[in-house]
Amino acid sequence: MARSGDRNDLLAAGLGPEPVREQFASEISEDVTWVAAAQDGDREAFGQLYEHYARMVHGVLLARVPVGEVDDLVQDVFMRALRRLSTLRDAGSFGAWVAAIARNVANDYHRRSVPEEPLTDDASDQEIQCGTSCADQDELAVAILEAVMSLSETYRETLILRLVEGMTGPEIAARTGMTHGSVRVNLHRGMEQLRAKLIASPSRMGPEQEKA
Amino acid sequence: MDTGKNRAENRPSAKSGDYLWDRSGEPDPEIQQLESLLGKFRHDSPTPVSPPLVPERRWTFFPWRLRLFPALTPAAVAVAAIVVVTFLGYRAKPTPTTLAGWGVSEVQGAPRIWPMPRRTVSRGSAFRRTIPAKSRWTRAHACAC
Repeated sequence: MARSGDRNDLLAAGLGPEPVREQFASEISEDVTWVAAAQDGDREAFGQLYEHYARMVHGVLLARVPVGEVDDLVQDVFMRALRRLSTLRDAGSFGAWVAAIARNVANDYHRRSVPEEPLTDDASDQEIQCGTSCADQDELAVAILEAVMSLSETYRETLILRLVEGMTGPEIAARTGMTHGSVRVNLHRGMEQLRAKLIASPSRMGPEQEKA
Repeated sequence: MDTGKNRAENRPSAKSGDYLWDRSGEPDPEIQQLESLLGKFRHDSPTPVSPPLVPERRWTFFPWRLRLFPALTPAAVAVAAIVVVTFLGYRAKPTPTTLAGWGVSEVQGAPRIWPMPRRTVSRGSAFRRTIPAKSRWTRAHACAC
């Protein structure tokens, strides 16, 4: 995933530097207060952290595990975070920390379960020919989600946070600890790849898009 | 991992770039449609009631058990003192008299047990050796009498 290590590339690409977390600086300082309070046993503060980060955790998990498992795993992530909260040294990096826990939980899920229908990168080469059966919005949504899931992991997490969870780029950067430049690159490249897949199987985007 | 290759194609277009980034600018219908379709997978679970939070103990140099050490020290010292005093008290007591029978053999002269002759010596008698008589007092055997 494009992270702070890619800063030089991003600078060269003219996509940075941008002050990271500028827009969400006040939220981050609130997080610090909540983390400190939660570490002292304040339930309400941990509830605030949950409300603040649940969408991000949900998106991170959705990019890695089947849809039906995500809600339960979100709870697992926060339970794990709760148990380990005392080990968090930098309260300002709670988002990156909990995102890392979510990725670990997703990895654990794959380690202990045998996927019934694994989504692999091979799926990206397959055209999902749903035709008229995709008229149903739910099926269409599932088909598009599958297309997103077929992208490389680098892009699908950011794209899911943006398109599914409805977070903006700056919000994604602030919540996950990624740089603005990395998020921007992931969004645009991911969107390019998704468009290519949707064009390859136009029925995914519905009749209006086909006309367009 | 992203690299600096194909930079131009990654630059956001004036139309859709801002909308994809922060929903500013002119909305991109394609992205809007994706948002509305994929929005059904969005997280909408209510905040669960979290279990009571018990703050974990921070790491300290001394584990909590060692914190009891100062409180237990006086008690331990007191117990040790009692044990030592009792032991020493037992040791200092004169051992029960286990007088042995004393055998007196004449070496030279006529040793006497003052004021009685040797043969009349009995347990607990004081005795004095008379000079120049010489005698050898030997402990015959230990007895529990």
